[in-house]
Amino acid sequence: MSDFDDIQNLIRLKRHEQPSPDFVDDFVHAFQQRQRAELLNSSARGLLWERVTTYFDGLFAPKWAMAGAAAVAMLGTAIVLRPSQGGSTFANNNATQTPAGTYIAPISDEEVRQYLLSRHYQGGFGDERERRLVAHDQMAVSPVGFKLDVEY
Amino acid sequence: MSERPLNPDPDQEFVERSQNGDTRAFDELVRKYTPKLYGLVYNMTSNREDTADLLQDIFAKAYRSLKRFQGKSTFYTWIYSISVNMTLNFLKKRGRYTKLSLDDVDNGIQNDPDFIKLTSGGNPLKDVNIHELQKRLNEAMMKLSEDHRTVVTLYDIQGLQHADISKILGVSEGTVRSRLFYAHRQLQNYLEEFRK
Repeated sequence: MSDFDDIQNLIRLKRHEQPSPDFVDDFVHAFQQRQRAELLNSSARGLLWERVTTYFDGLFAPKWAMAGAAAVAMLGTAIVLRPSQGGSTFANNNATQTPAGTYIAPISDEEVRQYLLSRHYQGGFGDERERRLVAHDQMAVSPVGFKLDVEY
Repeated sequence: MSERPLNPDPDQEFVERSQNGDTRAFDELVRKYTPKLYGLVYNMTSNREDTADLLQDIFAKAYRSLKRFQGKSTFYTWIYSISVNMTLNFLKKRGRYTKLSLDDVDNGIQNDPDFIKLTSGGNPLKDVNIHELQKRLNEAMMKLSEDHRTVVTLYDIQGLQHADISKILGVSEGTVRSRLFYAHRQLQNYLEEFRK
């Protein structure tokens, strides 16, 4: 006899706590109802799934799938092969980008003046009344009163 | 539990029929195991309403999982494992709040040798009301940790062997014995007044 025999005998008395005699029958009946309900639910879900898949099967028939794939391919090709237009942002960005370490010489004032007073200049800067040509030792022509927007 | 049992599973035919969709075969398994699993869950929860609800969930889960049952253990061990795990999960969710809702004690207790022995002579239990004893036993059980309560339920109340309990719980037999030892020692303290 161990020290725990009394305790074990005492605890074993809990075997006599029993549900009512018809518990098992009632329980099995309730379980059957629940089980059948779950089966019906799963059947309903299966039916819905079947209808959905059937619908999409019809929607995505092979001929439509092929047409869709061809359209996507053509669109992709058009985007890739589209000719770049002059002055596009992409082109400008590339033009201004220089490799690291490349030296760009600053533009001199003289070069700026050539562009401003080009040989295509025919006079007229918005003030025609005071226009007269004067000889200039450095420049071919220069309107009187005109002040270049360049600081020397 | 990972090895195929040496003895053939007595439930194998019903299990195979159930796996093939025969709900009547599964009903037979439910009918067979309801009393046993009821005892397990009831003595773990001390609440008969919770027991009935949980037992429904246990059999429903077993039915859904039956396709995956490969017979590496007996069906008996398998469904006991499911029951223990689901009951332990339930107890974790329920927390420490315990409302006792006890079954009636059957008349058989009056003829139980253990009860006669405990109530004979000068035993303190002689004058104890059976319902009071039931209440105290359940309170003592609920003071045990869930792991200790599980082994006491399986071994002392349901009469399973150490080897079967170790398979159900997935622990060694030594662990089962150790848990039993500590559980009995705690119960001794809780029920001191009823001891000789």
